[in-house]
Amino acid sequence: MIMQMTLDPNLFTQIGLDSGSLTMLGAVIHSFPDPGEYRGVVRQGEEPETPFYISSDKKSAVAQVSIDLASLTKLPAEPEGCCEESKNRFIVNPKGYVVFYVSAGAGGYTVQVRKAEEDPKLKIFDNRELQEGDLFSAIIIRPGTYSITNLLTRAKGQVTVAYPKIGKTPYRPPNPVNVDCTKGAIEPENLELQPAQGLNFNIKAPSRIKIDLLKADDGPSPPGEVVKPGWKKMTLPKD
Amino acid sequence: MAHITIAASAQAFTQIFNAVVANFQFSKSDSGSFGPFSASYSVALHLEDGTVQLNDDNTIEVKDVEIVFDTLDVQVCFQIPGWCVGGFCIVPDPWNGCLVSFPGFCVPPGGGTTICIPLDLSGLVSEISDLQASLVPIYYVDPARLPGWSDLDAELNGHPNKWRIFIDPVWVDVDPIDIPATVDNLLENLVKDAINNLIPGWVPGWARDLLWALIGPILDLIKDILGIVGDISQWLSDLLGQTFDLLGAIETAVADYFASKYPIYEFEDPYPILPASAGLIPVKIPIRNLSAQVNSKEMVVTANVGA
Repeated sequence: MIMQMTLDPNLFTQIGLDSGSLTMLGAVIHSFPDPGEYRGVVRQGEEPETPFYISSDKKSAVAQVSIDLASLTKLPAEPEGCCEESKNRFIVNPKGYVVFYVSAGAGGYTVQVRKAEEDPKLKIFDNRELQEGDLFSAIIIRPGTYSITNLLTRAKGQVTVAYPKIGKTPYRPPNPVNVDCTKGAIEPENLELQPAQGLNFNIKAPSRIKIDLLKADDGPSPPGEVVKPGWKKMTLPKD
Repeated sequence: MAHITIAASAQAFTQIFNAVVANFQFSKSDSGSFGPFSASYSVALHLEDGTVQLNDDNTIEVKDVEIVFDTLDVQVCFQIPGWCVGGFCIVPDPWNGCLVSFPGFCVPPGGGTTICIPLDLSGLVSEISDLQASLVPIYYVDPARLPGWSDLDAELNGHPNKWRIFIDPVWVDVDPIDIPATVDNLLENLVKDAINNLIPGWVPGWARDLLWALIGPILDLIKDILGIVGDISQWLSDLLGQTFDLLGAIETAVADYFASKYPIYEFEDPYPILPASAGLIPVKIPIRNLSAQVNSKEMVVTANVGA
């Protein structure tokens, strides 16, 4: 019997990215510079929202809190403010960062965080509308050409991801590329990346970054596969 | 002066020796865990050919006896690592470090997977490069002989006592198993197949190619995991010969076989001189003080007729 690796199919089927609908290939980063208690909710499609709590505390030495949205939505529901040591409670220094990411599964998460004691309608963070100072970080693993669109400013860019090559040493993706999302542009507009190379979007204007596959690159033909010129009998579908 | 002297020429001795060699068989299996990997083997072998030389100093020297591994199955199991993507820096700190990094993901999630590589090295040949011995007579009392039996009863029942002459090795030297360098290709292909089999069929081609790019050259991966510094063939030879001490086991088995399992010659005691006939019982003479020696020309066995 052959044992096979357990792989998450979403990793290979969810090709595009959307900062407002997070999957395994993307993460949004936000800072909470005002000390205090924050309440957040995470949603996946039509599923009920899952609350979580963030304390921005000057006494905390934590510079990065990574919040796995996939794990968060699987936690059993708890009464609001019930537990100090709850798994949906996070503490970060006001100068630190909160990274919202997805460890597994289909993704499609939205996150909103507001100050716990203030007007509940006031959203101070929403990954569907990233604000100046936020970051959106992406990995594109499928080779091909992609469009980059800021859905809020209509700024556009393009990125080409090279086909992986088996080299003399194990491939390690190069350092990430930084991109600025300003009011009118995505800079640089045209990017060339290696597979699985990181892409960090520095948000300088309201943004929702969407990355869509325009043209897939399926690599070179397998050795020995020669495409013969001339007529070839077509196979018709049975139905 | 001895009452009985029997001699066999060097050629006759060689023929006797060849018969002894041809009858040798050895099999063994073992397994062990060695940190980053575990391994097991199963071996069955026989001996062929060889030259024997009788010396004037009463020693026998055997050379170039081939050890033919009829079966040599080796299995090496090790964990291939998980390949992680992400982990890159998003917000660097002022000291060239990283304040915030992308969490990333690993394939498979949670780390490595263990694979086992079966290597069929059957048919390889090594050799006993040197075996030094002398002859030793051992008196054999058949364990099936009942205490009340006379020598005649024992003969009639097929369980007489015997003098047996063995080759008694002083040392046996078996050459390391010479594993050909082509084992590199064999191992590379088997590991490649094993990893391919681990990847589910639905994984698209580009993702497979990305995975192979992350893995890099297979032989480097194998050497890295198994901690192999030099040649894989040498490593495998050392694993079997030294780590599992297969060479030691073969040397011991050969020495034990020559010294006590298969005599080059044996004499019934008492020795029958005249068979039973016309109602008379056979004539048998007891043999005492048997000794066996060699010189460069022949093997000489001497004995006395005792009471």
